[in-house]
Amino acid sequence: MFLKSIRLTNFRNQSDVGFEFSPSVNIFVGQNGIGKTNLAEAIYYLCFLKSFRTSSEEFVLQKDKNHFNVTGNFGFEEGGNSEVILIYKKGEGKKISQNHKVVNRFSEFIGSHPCVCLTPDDIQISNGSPSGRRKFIDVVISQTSKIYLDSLIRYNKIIKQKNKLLSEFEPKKIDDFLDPWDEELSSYCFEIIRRRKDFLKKISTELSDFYNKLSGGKEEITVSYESSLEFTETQQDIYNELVRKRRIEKARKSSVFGIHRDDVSFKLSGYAARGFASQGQHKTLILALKLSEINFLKNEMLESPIAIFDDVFSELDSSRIGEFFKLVGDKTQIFVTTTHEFENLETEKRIFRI
Amino acid sequence: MSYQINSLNQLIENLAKLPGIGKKTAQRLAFFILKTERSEVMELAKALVSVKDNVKSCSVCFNITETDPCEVCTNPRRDKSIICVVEEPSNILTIERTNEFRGLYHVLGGALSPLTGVSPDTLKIRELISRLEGDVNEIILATNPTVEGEATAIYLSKTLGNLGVKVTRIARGLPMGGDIEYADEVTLAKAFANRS
Repeated sequence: MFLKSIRLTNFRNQSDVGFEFSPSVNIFVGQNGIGKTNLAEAIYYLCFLKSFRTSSEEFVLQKDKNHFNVTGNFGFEEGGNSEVILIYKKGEGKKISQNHKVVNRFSEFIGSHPCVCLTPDDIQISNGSPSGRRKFIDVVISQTSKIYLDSLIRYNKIIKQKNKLLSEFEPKKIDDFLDPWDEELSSYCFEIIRRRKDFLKKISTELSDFYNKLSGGKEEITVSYESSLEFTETQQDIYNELVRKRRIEKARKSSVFGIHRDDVSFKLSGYAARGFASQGQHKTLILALKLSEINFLKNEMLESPIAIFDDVFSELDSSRIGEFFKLVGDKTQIFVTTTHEFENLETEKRIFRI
Repeated sequence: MSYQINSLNQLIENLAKLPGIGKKTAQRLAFFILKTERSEVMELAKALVSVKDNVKSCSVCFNITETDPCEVCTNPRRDKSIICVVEEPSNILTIERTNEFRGLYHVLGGALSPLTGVSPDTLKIRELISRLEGDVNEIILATNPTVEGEATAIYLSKTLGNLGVKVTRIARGLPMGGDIEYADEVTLAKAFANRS
């Protein structure tokens, strides 16, 4: 899949602007603060219907305006086009249409335009807290599986209900009340863990390969799922453990076991990346992870994803960037924002000076 | 606002309290009522009051009714050995339209939801259990497929199952009359997972 063109109105610092893109590499060059990331953000909006920078559209809306628009035209490898129009109106929220049909449930749109995005904040996936790693895998798998996204949404609703029970009721009284929620929770928990492990298994070999191609070294990268639960083989196992550990949750007045507390561990030659790896190693790991993510989406979906790299190549020279683009593969459309021109970059490219 | 007509404003404000009615629609409705013949407006007003005065909930199944017990509970042709459990009276209207179910109903008055203060004690569950003393063979759980409706179904199937009655849950799957092409993917995927 590739994005042929985009048009923005009242979006951040852009009052009205349009671009036609190359199906290969597109580079936005400009000084800091000029609005390159805004373009990356707009492209991200067309795929995920939200920003990677803020959860509030108020910040995206240009000052003193009451609406913003993003319109994108996509072409598919399988044939056909898709026009996505996103309109945000102050006080009314977002409305999305695809090929002139209104998208009522945003969760149904997710995955129809697959996308991989890398920003400087993503270093958190490697050296930050577990929530960043969970978010990373959730965003990837949700694009490939509607059931996964639906399970995740339902899981989070149940956790809210369960936490309310735990926080407000007397510990002695609530076992009967907690039971149905834990049983329901365990079914979604099982489904989500199964798919998360499957994803990690599918990317694990490639991750090492990509890492060593990028670093020129010979390290083994292992990735493993670390659940807050000990037994996750069956739904019944999960339910039994939730019941067994209920006294801990009752004492803490909050639910502390389940996929909302799970983590992913990356190891470099046996040592945990978090706490052990150097800044350079973290960065290489994230680049390798994103390459694995692109390949995973390519394999799982009919369309190749588009890839957004926002201000992440500042320390790489043109030859290494060229090598990186080769690893991405020529079927994947690339968007890059940068402050410096990539001199002598041999890849076929279109440059936009912002 | 400088231009105000009190009685009209009051009508608009009251109409705007109805679900699905915003300020603009309320205004349109109010002006429509203003233009309508007095006799027709009286009929509407009477219907509003009458529904409040005459419709109550059945003391057996908690369905809405004008007679107590309701027409379903007193109908001798209905199968008294099966009870279908629903969240709201409006669910009964939908099920009745299918003409397929000939048993009795029981309205819970909602679904379990600690966030909005609904616990097993606030639902009509005790009343349901006391109905089991008759010759009831089967309870069909027809709560909504939301997380709250599912939790309620799980709770009921455990609680009632312990009392020795057969408990079943309505199936989930594809809507009939719809093309597979147009089914939402979660429903379709679940229909595959729960295939028979």
